[in-house]
Amino acid sequence: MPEGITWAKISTLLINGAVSYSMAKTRHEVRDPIHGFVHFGNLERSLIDSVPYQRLREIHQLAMSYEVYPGACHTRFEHCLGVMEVAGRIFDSVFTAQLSDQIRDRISDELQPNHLEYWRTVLRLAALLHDIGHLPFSHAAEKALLPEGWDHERMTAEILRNSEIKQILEDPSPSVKVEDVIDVAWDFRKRKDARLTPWKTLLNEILTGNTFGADRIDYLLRDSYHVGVPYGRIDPLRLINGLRLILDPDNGEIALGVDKGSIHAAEALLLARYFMYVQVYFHDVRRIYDIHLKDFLAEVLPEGKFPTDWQAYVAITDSEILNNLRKSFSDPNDKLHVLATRVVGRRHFRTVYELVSPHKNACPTILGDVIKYCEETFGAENVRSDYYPPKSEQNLFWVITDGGSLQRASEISSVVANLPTFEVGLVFVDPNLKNEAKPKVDEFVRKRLDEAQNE
Amino acid sequence: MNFRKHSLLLTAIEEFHSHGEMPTGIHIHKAMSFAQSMDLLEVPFAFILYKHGPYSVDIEFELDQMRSYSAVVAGKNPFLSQVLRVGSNGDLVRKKAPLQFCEVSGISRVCAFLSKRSLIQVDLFATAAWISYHERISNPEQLASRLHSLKPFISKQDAIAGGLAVSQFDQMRLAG
Repeated sequence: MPEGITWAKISTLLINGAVSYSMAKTRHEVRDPIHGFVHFGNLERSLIDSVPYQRLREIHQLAMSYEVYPGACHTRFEHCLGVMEVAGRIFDSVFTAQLSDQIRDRISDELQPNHLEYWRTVLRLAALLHDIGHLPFSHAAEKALLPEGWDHERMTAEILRNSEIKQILEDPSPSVKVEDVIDVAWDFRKRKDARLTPWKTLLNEILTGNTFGADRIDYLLRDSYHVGVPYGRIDPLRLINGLRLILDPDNGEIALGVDKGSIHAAEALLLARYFMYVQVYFHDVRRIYDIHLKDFLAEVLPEGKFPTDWQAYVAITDSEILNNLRKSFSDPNDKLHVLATRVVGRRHFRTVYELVSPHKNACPTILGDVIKYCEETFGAENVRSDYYPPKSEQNLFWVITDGGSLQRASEISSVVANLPTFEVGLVFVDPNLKNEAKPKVDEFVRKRLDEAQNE
Repeated sequence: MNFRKHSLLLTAIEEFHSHGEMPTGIHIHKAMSFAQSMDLLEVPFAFILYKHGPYSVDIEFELDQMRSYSAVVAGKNPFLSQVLRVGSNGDLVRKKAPLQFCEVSGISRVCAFLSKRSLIQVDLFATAAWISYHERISNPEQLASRLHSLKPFISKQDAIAGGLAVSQFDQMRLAG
């Protein structure tokens, strides 16, 4: 400070308005309907302002679900902000709680204050950027429209390594390693090329974990809010405040467990997920829109695939696809007019068969049999099908009891122990054939189930 | 529906029970990986080595399929996570894809070896077998040191014992 100038003098001048005083703002916040506010710093703001992140404003979170649920117009943009907020809260909850000596010894290096702050930043950045490689309309066409070996996680890594994001991450001092962000953001269960350290695996689980992942907590809350169904409403603060680091007795590794006081919040999360999947994510009309969209894109895209060149990739959003759809729809001579009409004109295929558990028990191959029958009877071009395999969410997490011992959640909670699995199998036909096809399919199913009993 | 894969998994479940073990999904993952590493039979599942040892997304998928049509049921056990048992459609699987005698006996040997062990040991053995197969490390000292580097919470002594047990199993296999 120059000689003769004191803070007292500065403050007097300020109060009198003699000088203008400005200080660069380092903390920022935006309102969010789910979490109240999302807070972020300068580095995070620079990333939010980047072109790849701004693109997420034009990627619908739930693809074309708005055709069924008009409120489902939210995007990956606000979801990723929400995940960053939740991930930070989980980190704070877990590392401000008292850690056992064994855990403390195991991660003593990472617990150094400057290291811990670095990893908190990495986790929040990974949360913010984890969906940056999403295709237009999110998951609707990922498997079919990306070349073999590619998915949105790999695309995310590609963009992080090559775009302006890398520069932004490496700019501050100390800088953030891009590969650290990728390791934490990329669900390790889907990654065959890397073995993460136990520490990174833990952070990865905080973000992508099946049971308590920040991604899941945010999407359940956000999707249910926008869709307008009450199933996804859970108590995130109670859950997050009850998360603790434990040593998993099964394998001796550090894992996330939950304090007994938060077990009901954990149950609510698991139930919310079940109902959201059954009622919203696998709604039959929503699924057929995905299929029609995929059919259209397979024709529009060069060689039926999205580019894997990251610059070409980030140039495509839902808006470009919707423009193409509307153009083809408005021109009856366009070669894709019929496909576009399925979506824009709402002439989507209609459901004629839905797999149910008793059918599969009686005849494990029933879905494939129905699809084959429909294709042979009505022509393959008039039939579409969708299948989501059963996925037992075993929810093998540990609960810290009042006495401090660990108990399996399934021992304490009958909700956790008995959570049903779900499986989706759907067969659709052209709307012009629906009335003819439905009774025929019903009759075929009845006969096939009878035959299976005698096999 | 891949009944051959289901038949292999069903056999592993049965063999664990016949050796007095109450198998969970973890046992099945480790047993199949162990059988693959020991070259006992053709195991049509892909594995990754993650923090809890070898794990197969394929096996997870197929076990879920089997549960969905009651080829396998998961029972409750107060001390373990869900115990797998053969369900009402187990016979259907056997009929659709019967296994050869050598396949059943290979699975049986693995299940006998892994039965009545703690899950930490099961993981240790499967990981040791993985290392010796995929990383071509057969020297017991080197094997133990690699195990210890992957799982620092396992003592060197336990790692050596684990590596030795696996190499003994391998020698018995080679001796026929």
